[in-house]
Amino acid sequence: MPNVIEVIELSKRYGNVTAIESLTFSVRAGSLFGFLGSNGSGKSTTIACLSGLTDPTSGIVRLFGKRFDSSSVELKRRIGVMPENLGLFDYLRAEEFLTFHGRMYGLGAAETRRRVDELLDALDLAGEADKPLGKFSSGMRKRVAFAAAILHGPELLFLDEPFESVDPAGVALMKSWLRRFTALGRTVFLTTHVLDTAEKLCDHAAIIHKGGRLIWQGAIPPSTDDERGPADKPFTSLEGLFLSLTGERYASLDWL
Amino acid sequence: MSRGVALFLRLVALRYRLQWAHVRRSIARTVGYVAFQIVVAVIALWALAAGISAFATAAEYDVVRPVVRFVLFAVFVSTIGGSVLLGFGMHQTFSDRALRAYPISALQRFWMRHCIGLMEPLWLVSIAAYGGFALAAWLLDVVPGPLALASAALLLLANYLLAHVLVVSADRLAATPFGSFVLLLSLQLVILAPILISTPEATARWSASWAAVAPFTPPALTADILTGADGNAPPLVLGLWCLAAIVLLAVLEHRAAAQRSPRLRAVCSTSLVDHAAAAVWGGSAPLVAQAMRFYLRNTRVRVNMVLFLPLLAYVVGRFHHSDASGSLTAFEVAYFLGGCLGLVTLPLAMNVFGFDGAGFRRYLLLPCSGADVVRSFAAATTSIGAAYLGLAWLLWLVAAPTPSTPTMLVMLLSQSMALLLVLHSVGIWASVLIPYRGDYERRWSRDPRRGLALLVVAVLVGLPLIVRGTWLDEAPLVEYWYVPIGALAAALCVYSWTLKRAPTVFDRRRDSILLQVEARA
Repeated sequence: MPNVIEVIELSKRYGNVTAIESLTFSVRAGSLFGFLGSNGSGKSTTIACLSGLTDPTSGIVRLFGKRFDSSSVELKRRIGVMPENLGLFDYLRAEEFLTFHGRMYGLGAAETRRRVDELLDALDLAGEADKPLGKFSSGMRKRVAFAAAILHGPELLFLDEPFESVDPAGVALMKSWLRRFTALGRTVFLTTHVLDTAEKLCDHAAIIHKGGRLIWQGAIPPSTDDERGPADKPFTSLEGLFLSLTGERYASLDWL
Repeated sequence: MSRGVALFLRLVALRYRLQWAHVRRSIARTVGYVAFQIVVAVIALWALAAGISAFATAAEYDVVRPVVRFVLFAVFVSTIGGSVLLGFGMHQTFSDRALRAYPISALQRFWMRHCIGLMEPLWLVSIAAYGGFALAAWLLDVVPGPLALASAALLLLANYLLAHVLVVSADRLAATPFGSFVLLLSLQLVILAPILISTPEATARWSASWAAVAPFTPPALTADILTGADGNAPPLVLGLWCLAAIVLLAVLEHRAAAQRSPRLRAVCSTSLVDHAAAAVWGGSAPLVAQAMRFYLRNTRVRVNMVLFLPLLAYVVGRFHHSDASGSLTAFEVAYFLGGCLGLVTLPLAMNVFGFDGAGFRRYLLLPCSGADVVRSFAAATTSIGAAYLGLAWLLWLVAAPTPSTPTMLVMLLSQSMALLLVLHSVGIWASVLIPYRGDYERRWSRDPRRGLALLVVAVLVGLPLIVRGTWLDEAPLVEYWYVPIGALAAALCVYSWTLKRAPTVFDRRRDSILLQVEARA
């Protein structure tokens, strides 16, 4: 399978703060790729650079084998993004927002209408027709953002914490759609804090640590010695690997 | 020191630490911040000195009471006007909600918030001005020092509290279904009051009513105390003003603001807006329609639109009847029209991305360039303004049958269109260069963009009127037919240049705009 995402020496700085530093990795077509890291490690900044929200300070991003930046309009048509803060227009209804989205990605009016109706129905949002998005609960907002990301049938999907605040039924539905999505040869790149979910859902993953440094990349479960992590702590679970690599410890607080 | 006072002092320190944290990231901001503090200090010192010298001079000429009354009243009214209409001095570093996280009572939260609010520059200058009069009264031995200082403090308190009462009332009213309409109507009535009571009889009637009420206003009462008026009535009535304002403010703040949903049925996704955008803007139609929908759903824009037409009809009628020739007043009306049209959309056009808040991120992710985003919003605002211009001109022709010649008609249309284009060019640059996180539906009086828009319109409308009054007073205006046409050509150049250059700046500043409008800067 060819690489859909290729990242070479990617760095992003905001003033004196380095959000990500010299990231290099690739993602194969058809994989469900988990991008993991602790809070503030640069996951969302990486997605922002890979989806064209912002331009990196240095480094190269290639999507579908072509150089990608924030002005790559044609490549943007082939990707779907669910950003960190969802990016919803609070004064629109869900149907209006999705219709706008579909039209912006070049879908015809009738096709947009059909897909929007089906998505709203499937995501249990059809009953909220008269409500502006600003009045939606956080879980409902997440569903709308997810619907917008998949509406135009992208070949590559970027999802930033897609399951946070969504109820179990919604999570199960989204997972089943993502599995079907990758079964068709399309690619999903997602970030999550829930390592158990990542371990069960993803076939490949990468871990970045504070300062945006990549410290592990491999298949799940690991297939080579390199991917199994430190020799003294053999891979038992993604959580164990994550903790051993990032040095996270449960602190014992004498006053707690 | 009690725990409440200790916490208050910590909050005061935190206020300045937050300001410093905001500016320390760049040298330009740091320099600007320090320079601003120095300017505020100089103005405050000047106000203090002016207060002392005004009092002393008035005392020398034996006109101390009317002078003190007049100056205190002017400071009082301008402070309320500046804070209520333009939002100066209304910023509160800590909201009641933020302070709820700490173990402090509701009463403590109330006084802490407002005491910190008094440290805003506007109020510091007011403190200095009122303090100057109090010091002068004390130093000249007109009244005892404690009484002078206490009366100045009470006046400041009444001033601050009344400004807040008005602002909170306006916010609460704006959150009700017809609140925005009522607010704008009230504001326009206040602005139009001089025209409405223009007859000598009406003016005399209003003056008599005002003369009966004025002595009981806080500035007049303070002036009476500072100039040594006999009796306990002035301090008592001034104290009652403060008490009433405290109670009113506490009650208003205690009542939760009504949550209002935008009325969404007005525009549906396959409405006239989409069809109009598709007909005119082709490939960018969805983006332009989205921008138009944003404007047409905004309460401010809708209220301005509804109220502007009858206001225009009334003003045009008044102008027409007051000048038989019509030609000179047409010049003024055209500027009035352009300015008002600019105001219909300008407060939003000046901050298009900020009012979309979290939605702004979506524009950057869509398969479109930065130029598409900037131009679509520009297209939406200018189209709405231009459509409204046509509608207003139809009304103008009905209400005032001047201009009678095609030349004058072309002149007036060119003039108002030129003003509209210049105003919207300013709006685009303000959106790109100084983005600000706005509030889609609320914050009637505390939006700095509102003050900026008023300032821009005042400058752009005021300057030509001054030119007209200075140089063109006696000349037949039709002889200058080439001026508005030239102005329109120049405005078109400015607008085209803006549409060409602003997207480049937008692309270059996208990270910083994103941080600003998502309030992460």
